[in-house]
Amino acid sequence: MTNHDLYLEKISLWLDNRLDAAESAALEAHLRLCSTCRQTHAAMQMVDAQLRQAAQTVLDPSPGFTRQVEARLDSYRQSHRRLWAGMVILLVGSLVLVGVTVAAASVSLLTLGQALTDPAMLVYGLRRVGEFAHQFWLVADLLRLVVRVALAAVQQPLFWGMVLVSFLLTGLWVKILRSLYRRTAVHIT
Amino acid sequence: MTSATAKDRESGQVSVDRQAQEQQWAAEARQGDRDAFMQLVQAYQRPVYNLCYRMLGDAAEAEDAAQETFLRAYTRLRTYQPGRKFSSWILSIASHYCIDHLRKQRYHQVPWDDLPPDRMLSASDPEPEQAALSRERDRSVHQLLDTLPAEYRLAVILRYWHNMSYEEIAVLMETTVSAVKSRLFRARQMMAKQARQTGGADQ
Ligand SMILES: [Zn+2]
Repeated sequence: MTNHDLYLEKISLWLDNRLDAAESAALEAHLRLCSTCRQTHAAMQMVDAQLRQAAQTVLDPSPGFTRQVEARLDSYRQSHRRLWAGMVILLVGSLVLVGVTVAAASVSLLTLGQALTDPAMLVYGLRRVGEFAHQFWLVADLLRLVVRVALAAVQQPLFWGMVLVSFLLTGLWVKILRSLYRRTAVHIT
Repeated sequence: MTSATAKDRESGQVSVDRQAQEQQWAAEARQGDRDAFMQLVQAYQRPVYNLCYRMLGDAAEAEDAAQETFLRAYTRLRTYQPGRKFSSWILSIASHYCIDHLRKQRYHQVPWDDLPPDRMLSASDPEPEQAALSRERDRSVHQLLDTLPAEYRLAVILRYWHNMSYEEIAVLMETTVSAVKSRLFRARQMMAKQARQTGGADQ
């Protein structure tokens, strides 16, 4: 910062009445000697006068201003309420979805359980476990078991019903969430 | 050299009564009282709108910004600390909104529009030709403000139009007094340069 810059900053402070007597005197003394600072001083003073003049002008917002703010508040509140309603629907819907899934799964497990408690199946499984140390194709057999269970499930109409309901509900939630987001994003951003 | 610049303009001093009243409105609005909030809108629409207008330079945009300011205030009433001046709280929301808005549109600048004549309230000159003159003056002031970065412009507007002290500006802009000092200085320097370039012919 050069000497001039220091004085120029003082001019700004002087315009805001923030210099004490000694500082003002020092500034005046410098201005008498330095034409560069004097010029800037004159320009800043002119701008200052212009701004003071302009600051006398106060504008009013349009006559419907408060009514428009009220309308915006209303639509904000409405979308807020819709958001809550949406949340409740979402929660209830999710609970229904979980309920349907649990019911379908327990029915499937029940039939699977029946298959597993079948003595023939149990013997088959135990024999396979016993052969673990010697048989490397156990993995392949396990896979075959999984496929068999899956096939059993696929044959259940309930399984397909569950898949269908899950799809429909998921689609619905995505749609609800998206429209809720669109409505509230306008105000919240 | 005499200091012709002494700040004895009527300051925006809020009377004790009014401050108590606004505190009550704010407290009621926080409890969810819509009417109390609308009283605050009524009371502060003018300063908020003027800040936005000087920041953005466009009447329609300023109106939108001012409405958005009140909407934000409504949703953030919980963050308002009782005891703080409501005016400085609401003006700081408006300032943030305008600075963000200016940043977003930095690359497609819109020219300052003319002042809507029917909406101008000039205390000193009601005569038509006087009004035209003051409109002309206003335009050249806007050209000056337009040369400033948003933060500098805000400091100038708070200083001149809202008659705030350095300390008040520092609180509102969440910065130090010395930063305010240097912003006002740089702003004045830039405007002085601009005024000299345009030749000061609009005197
Ligand atoms: Zn100098």
